[in-house]
Amino acid sequence: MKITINRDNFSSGLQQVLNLVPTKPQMPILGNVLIVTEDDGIALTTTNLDLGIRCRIKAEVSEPGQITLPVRRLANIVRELPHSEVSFETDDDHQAKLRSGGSSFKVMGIGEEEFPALSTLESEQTVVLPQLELADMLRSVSYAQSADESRFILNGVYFKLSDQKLTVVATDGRRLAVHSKEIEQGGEKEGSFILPAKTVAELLRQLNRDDNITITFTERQAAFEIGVGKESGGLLGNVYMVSKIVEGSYPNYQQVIPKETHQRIKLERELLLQCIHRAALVTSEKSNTVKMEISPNHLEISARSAEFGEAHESIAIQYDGPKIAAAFNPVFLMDPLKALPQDDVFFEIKDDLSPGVFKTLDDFLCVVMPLRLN
Amino acid sequence: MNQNRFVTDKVNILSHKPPFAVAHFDADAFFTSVEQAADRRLRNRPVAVGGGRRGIIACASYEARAKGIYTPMPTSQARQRCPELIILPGRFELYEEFSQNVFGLCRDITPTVEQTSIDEGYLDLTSTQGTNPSHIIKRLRKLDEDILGWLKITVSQGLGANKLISQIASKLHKPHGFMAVPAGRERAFLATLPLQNLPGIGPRTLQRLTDCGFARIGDLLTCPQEELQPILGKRTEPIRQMARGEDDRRILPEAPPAQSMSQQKTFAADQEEEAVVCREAKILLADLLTRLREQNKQARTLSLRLRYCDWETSERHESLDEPSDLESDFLPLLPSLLRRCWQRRVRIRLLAVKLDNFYPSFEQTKLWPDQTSRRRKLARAMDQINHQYGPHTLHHGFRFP
Repeated sequence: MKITINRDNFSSGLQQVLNLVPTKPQMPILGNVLIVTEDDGIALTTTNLDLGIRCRIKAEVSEPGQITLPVRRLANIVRELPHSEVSFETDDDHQAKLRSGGSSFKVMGIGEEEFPALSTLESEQTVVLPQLELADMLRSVSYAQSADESRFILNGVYFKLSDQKLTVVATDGRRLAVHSKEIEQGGEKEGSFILPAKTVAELLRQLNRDDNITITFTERQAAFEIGVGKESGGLLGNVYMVSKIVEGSYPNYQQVIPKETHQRIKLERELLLQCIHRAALVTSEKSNTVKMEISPNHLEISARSAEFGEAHESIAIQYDGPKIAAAFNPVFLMDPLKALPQDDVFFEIKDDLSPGVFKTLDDFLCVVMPLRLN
Repeated sequence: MNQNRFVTDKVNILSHKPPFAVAHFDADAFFTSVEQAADRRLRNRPVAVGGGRRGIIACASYEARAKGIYTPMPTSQARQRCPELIILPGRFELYEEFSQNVFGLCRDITPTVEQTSIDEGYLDLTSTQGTNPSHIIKRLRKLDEDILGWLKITVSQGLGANKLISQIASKLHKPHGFMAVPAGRERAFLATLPLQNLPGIGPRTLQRLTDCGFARIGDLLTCPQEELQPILGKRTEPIRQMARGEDDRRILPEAPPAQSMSQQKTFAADQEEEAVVCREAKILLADLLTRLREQNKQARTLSLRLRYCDWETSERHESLDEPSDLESDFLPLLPSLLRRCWQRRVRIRLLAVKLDNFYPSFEQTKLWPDQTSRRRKLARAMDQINHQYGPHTLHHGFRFP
């Protein structure tokens, strides 16, 4: 294998695939990147067995071949090379030689046959949508995923495809965030899967280009082809991610969404977020709660702790219903407000012990369960 | 009982000016007085409240004290010394009820009442209208009459310019005593009293001071400070300050919330069966958790203390990741905690269970009811049944031997 490649392109390609490689991999091969030559460039692949990622970058290939090299070490070397043109060649002993200007490196690798291949999914169940839209949807729900490993079903985001609609859902049993979007494509496609939290995080890192994403899924895996757009930085075609999905059935989330609209108030998202954030400054580990008191034309947010004192925040609102006072974990209120891009949000509540529901005009909702103060 | 004690003291006080407005009161032999108030047949007889065969006397009536019974005397010894002694097991709910009534009457004369124990407290009378000493004494007399007339128990009262003086004064003429120390006369009042009247002077310090020739509180001030330094060390100045009758502690109307909750059991016979001790620990813990839920608190740390039959003690604790008020969270900790605590192959005589590291009881409601919320609901239902139909109407199976 012999290629010539631009240093910055090589470096950005390695950065694309580096993130999911653990610092101390279980097997040495999982700390390596698989480099395979193609017609107009090379493909870089890494995997941690749960999640794999492949990207392609431009390069001049004079001799085809493949090798695996320790990805973190290689990325550090490439980034520091002195000249923008890098020549890269391998020998039969799984060694790679890099030359750039006056620098030359010899890096020990492992044979490519050791590398676990990424599977290519063949499924009818596909959906295509602009990646920035999916990024918005995921950001608006991902904070609600559970981190409690004993409830592994909830350690991810639930994707549901039905009625020409893609819905993403996350919950930790105390709050639930749901975001839906119409999908512009025909066909009677239905199905669902739970994407693990780590894949969600990696996907969110990748979804930043003005291009489409194609999601394909089977009963065991989900794959994402992420278009690289025009400003590609040497990237070619798609970034391909394939991930295991969480096996099991997701709880029936629709049954816990309050069906009727009771009292609804419109709020400026930023203002509400700031008020809750300020009130929460006096909360403590032992009393982590803020109270929302809604009365005609007035919303008061207050917090109190024996250790620090108390805080009161007032917001003028349009409201003429009954007085309601409910207590919430401030983090559960702030998370959706931080994640949403809209200027205004709607807050719905029935009574002191009923869940609070944030909604936007974009088919988003977040149910937050209250705290019962005994 | 001195019927005219208010009158005689009044004469002394009226010649002096206020402010002396802190009253201390202390119920006389409280537990036995309550028993005697509740049962006419016990009056004028030697009565004690205390534990069974192995326990100690927790409180002795004045009739019993006259026969040499004191607290804490082992019950067996008390029986030997006074065979006609009536020993009662103790009805703490009744004592708490009486205590609440006593403090309720105190709050009728001033809102600023500090409860320091079940039967002791301070009243701040400075802030109430009329600081005229005769008015204050009138109020205290009214309180005394109300407590005696209504509850049939007696209290001893002391009146002074601060907590220290009023507390010492109240203890001087027990039972049913009253003593007022006029403002400005604190030092003179203390000077002639024996050293042990001063709080903070325990038996050991007393012994050392007596050995060095000190007998009265006044002696602590007449000698140079350097002489006291080797005996009292760092406490020299605070103790001299007290000897001068100075005390700037404020009256705190609300007692600071309890930092821990504990319950103990002395076995009738030294115990060697792990199963029996573990069952006893479970019972103690279940009782504590009921109290915890009553107070709307949750705890994170469980401690176990045991005393071997040679009186050596051992203590271990363990904390939950998240605070709880449920048996299902704490009970599984007990067997391993007991094994870690009970290291010596020696029988044990006493077992104590303690909960601390308290949190206010917030319950994060869940979208889908989970096991914890169901268990909490069950615990509250059980508590309610036991509250309504009497303790242990419904209880856990481990209470059966």
